[in-house]
Amino acid sequence: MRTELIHSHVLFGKVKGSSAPVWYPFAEFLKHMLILGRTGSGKTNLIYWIVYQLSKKCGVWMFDRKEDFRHLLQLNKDMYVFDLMQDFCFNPLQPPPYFHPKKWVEMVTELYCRINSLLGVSQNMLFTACDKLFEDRGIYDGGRDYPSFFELYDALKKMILARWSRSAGSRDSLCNRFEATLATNKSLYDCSIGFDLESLLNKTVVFELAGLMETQANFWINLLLHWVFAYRIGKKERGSQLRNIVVFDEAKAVFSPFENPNLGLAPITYMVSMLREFGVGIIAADQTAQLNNSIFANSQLKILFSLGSGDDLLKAARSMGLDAEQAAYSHNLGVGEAIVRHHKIGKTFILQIPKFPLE
Amino acid sequence: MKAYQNSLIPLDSLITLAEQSRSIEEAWVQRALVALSFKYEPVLAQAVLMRSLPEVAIRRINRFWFDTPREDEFI
Repeated sequence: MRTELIHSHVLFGKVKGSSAPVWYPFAEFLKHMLILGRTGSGKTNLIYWIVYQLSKKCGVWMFDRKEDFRHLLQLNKDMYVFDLMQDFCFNPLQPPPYFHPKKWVEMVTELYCRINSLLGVSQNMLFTACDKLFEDRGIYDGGRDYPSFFELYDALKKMILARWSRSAGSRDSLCNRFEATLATNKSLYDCSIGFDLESLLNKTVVFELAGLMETQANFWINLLLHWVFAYRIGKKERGSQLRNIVVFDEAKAVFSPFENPNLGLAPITYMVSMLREFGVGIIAADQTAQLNNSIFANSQLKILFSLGSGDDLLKAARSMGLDAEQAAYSHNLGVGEAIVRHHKIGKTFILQIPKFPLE
Repeated sequence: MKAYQNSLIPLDSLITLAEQSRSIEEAWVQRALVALSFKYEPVLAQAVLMRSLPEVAIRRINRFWFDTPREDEFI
């Protein structure tokens, strides 16, 4: 085994049927990765290996709904774990450094409304309210007294609108969503300037989402991804250098296959295709293949562990270009074994992954 | 050995084959015994019975549908 490769590649395991180690170059992570497999098949174990090796090379952000990744603290003492229900504070309206505040307001208001299934009138109203708060506080002139989500909610409530008008109805819908958002966790939103995300960019960070409503979790994942994107674009950090890896276990919450035709494509759809240019790679993992097509279309490396459903297997096999015998073999895969179709070398093989040394 | 009684291969030969092949891998032998019939794999069966290329014969029966890339290919 060529151990010197550890400086430029991640070691996944070995090829079944031979003793060849399976290496994957850092830069290839920018082309995104999709990992599918039923519970207990070995997905999280593989992610542990990848995260452990990449955490010394670039920033790794993990979005965790099951408190799986906090166990990595046993081996990586430099890792940060934030439970969004308890010990995290960030103002969604605080723009990333180098990014124009007005563009950020547009981005966040659109994101919030799409994720909360609010249509154009609500979105315009939210933007107008937010824009006015930013004007009044001199944010566009360099001020840093960013309004919190609580203050934005108050501004919406104080808007003078004709009773029973369409605008009043939209405001009610908006306020309804804000009430649910703010009730989730007061301390999460109750700040003007939150935690310094810029200093966390190069770190290994776990954002725990257990307990958050699905809409809230989806909003935060999208918000933080948009933040990274806006930061990189504002700082003009393009290119093929791997700067960040973002890991989603239980990816279906973000890459939902269900799209509201009135709202257009989910925000994450655009992010997946754009993040790559800014040095951000995505690793998405799930128990089923019932995910948004964008992650199938945009992930170069697909790793298939044993799946529990024939429908999922058909979809996964089709997306990986497996033939019938190869797909059927997935039923014979043991724990820690996965089918890999490697586009770069044009081969399909069985990957065997050793158990990650965690207690 | 009931499953193999309809096989055209004499039972004694199959048992001998199983004993000889024990050093290769037991699970493979079992699958090879199932597949070894003059009806379905006459050439392979004959090759095994003639004690020529038993491993090659067993490997062909126990097909592996995947590639085995070398380490260099990943770099």
